[in-house]
Amino acid sequence: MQNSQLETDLPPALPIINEMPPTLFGETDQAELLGRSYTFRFKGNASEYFGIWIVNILLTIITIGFYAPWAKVRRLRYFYGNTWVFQRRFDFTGLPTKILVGRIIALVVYGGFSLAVKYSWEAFLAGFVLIFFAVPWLIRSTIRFRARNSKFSNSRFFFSGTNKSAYWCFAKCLAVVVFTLGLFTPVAVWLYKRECLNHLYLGQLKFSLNASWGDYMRAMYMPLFVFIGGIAVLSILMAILFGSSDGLNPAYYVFLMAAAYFLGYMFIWPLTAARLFITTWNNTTLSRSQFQTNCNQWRYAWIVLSNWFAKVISLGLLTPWAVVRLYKYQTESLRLMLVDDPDQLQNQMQQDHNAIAEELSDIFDLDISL
Amino acid sequence: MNTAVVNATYYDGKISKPYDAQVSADGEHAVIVRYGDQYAQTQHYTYKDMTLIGALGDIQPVIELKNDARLDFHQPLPEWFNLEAKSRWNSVWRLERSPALIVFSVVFVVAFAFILIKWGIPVASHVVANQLPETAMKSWGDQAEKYVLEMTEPTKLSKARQQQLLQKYQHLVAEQRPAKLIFRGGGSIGANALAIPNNTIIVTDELVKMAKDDFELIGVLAHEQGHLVQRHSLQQSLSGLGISIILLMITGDGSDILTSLPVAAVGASYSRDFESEADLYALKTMSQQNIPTAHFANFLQRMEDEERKEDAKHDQAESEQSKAETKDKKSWTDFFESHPATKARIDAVRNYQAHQHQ
Repeated sequence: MQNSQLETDLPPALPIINEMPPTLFGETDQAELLGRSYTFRFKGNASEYFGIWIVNILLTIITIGFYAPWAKVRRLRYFYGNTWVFQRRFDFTGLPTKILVGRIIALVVYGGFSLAVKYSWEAFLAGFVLIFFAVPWLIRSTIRFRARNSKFSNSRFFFSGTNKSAYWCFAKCLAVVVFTLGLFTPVAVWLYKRECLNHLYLGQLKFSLNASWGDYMRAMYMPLFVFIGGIAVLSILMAILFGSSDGLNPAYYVFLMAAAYFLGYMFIWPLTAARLFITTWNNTTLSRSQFQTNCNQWRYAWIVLSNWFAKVISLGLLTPWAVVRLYKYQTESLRLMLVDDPDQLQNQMQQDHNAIAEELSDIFDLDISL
Repeated sequence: MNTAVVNATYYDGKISKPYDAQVSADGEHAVIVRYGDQYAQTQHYTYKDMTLIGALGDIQPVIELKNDARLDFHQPLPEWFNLEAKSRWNSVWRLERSPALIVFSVVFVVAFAFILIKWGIPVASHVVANQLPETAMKSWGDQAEKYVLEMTEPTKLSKARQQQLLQKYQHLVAEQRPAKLIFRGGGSIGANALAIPNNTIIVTDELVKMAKDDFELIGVLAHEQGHLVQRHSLQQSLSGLGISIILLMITGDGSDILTSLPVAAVGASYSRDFESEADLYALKTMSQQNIPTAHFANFLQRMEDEERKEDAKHDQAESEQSKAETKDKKSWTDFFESHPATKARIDAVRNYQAHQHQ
């Protein structure tokens, strides 16, 4: 069923759609609206989301966990459904009952695994190896489920990656990481993102990632180099200062140095995440339409870091605020240079995938986010 | 029956173009959707073919129809709309927007989390740990033992001294469940005693030498015996499992530091409870054998003094005075400390003594 197009039986007023991305600039009744850049908008807000979030938790507790799938769908829908571009919005249509079945199976697997782990080291090893080799299958199934149930303007996303290509990508990533002793990990990230994006469709329009592996090397290594350089400069500076003024307390310098180190260290990962986000979206196209982001890496990193502190200090109660804050910043930094007519998207026929893998990868903490 | 017309956005399921549409009732079981130019085109849908996705925040209800068609409403569903699920979703939506319920939820969730962490999980893991067979963690224990043996050196204690301590242990502490007692040179772990869940106690030479009286060592061994008898390792890992399952069920995602930090903090607080329990076990054993419990307090005190001496060696700039002050203060990092502060443990021993003499 994959990839086959819907035989179309269109209302007469509209142009007939063929296999190819059909609507060139100037061919449709929306011509004057195309070829321009449109920004993404997030219309949700933290206080509204707080109510949804806390009621989700309350109902999950009261139903001893059975509400969790409904909670998950409501959470996803809140973010998808409030994301707008070109006066159309996204939506998530996964059915909670399906997710519930997936989640129960996932919990049984997780529970069995954890119990086996309690008994012996060998069982832990065996379970670990098993899960390790299931990862490509899990990720691919998860993306398929997520894509099929995501809509933009009632047009479904579609993930065309096969198990074969997932395992091939996994093997390549593994080889790159192992044989370069981890030095080329960014290349593995690049391979993964390419696998995800290059098999993703919205209607009949195909996403593609046009970044090179070098872009990812730069994105991920720059923060580390800046950090190392910064620490080096600082320590030289300290040495000079300390050497010249012997009246001052050395403990003070040690403390200052440690603080700088700690602060810098905490910025490495948020900055890397920011640069990955920017590199990915500035190099992604949807058919002929180009994505762009004016996201600022420092602001992004600051949001990630301060979110983290806010969540810790509020014992988790500021989580909804933090999540909305980062999502809004990410979303509203995005623009799409729209060339294809967004009214002419057609659904790819696709089976309704089961949610088991998605729930398994949730339980085992696999992050599939792009 | 009131059959007012409702405005909505209609998608035909073939292309993504949104149409302005008017929805009206078509008898009891179906609706008519009129859309397109002058609402000239029509579609009929029965309620059976509809999947309702309720309102959420400012997003109004959506209905998914057969053949991937869809209706986005611009206001709540009208009275005449005959879908069963309607009222259920509407009530969830209203709950999420009611300030009173939100406040109640916050209070409830915070109280629930507190009770669960304070009592629920420890009790559950205690019960489960005692249900599981004694060998439950043997394989892990063997692994840990191997690891500790690698980190330490062969003992330098004489055979006779080892034998003497072993006999005292078996006579005074072991009761019906003697553990395997191993002496090792401390190496990187220094003066230390460890209870390993494969029913093994490892004691370092440094710790043996630090004791001024063998009764002090009996106290330490009884403390470790307490860990083994009460299966603290198993309880610890069960409660860790419990917390991560609950966090997963509530958050449903995320392996960031934020979720691992509370797990670590709560785990450390449980482990402090276990230390206190093991101390209590040691004190009970000692008083059963008519050994003055002051020996145990003395040993704890000496351990702390040694540590301070070490600290002082490392940091001569800070005066002993201020050092002592900072030690006594309760700092926020206590929350992550795996052992209760030594002072608190010594106080607990004195308390126990006082109660015994009453």
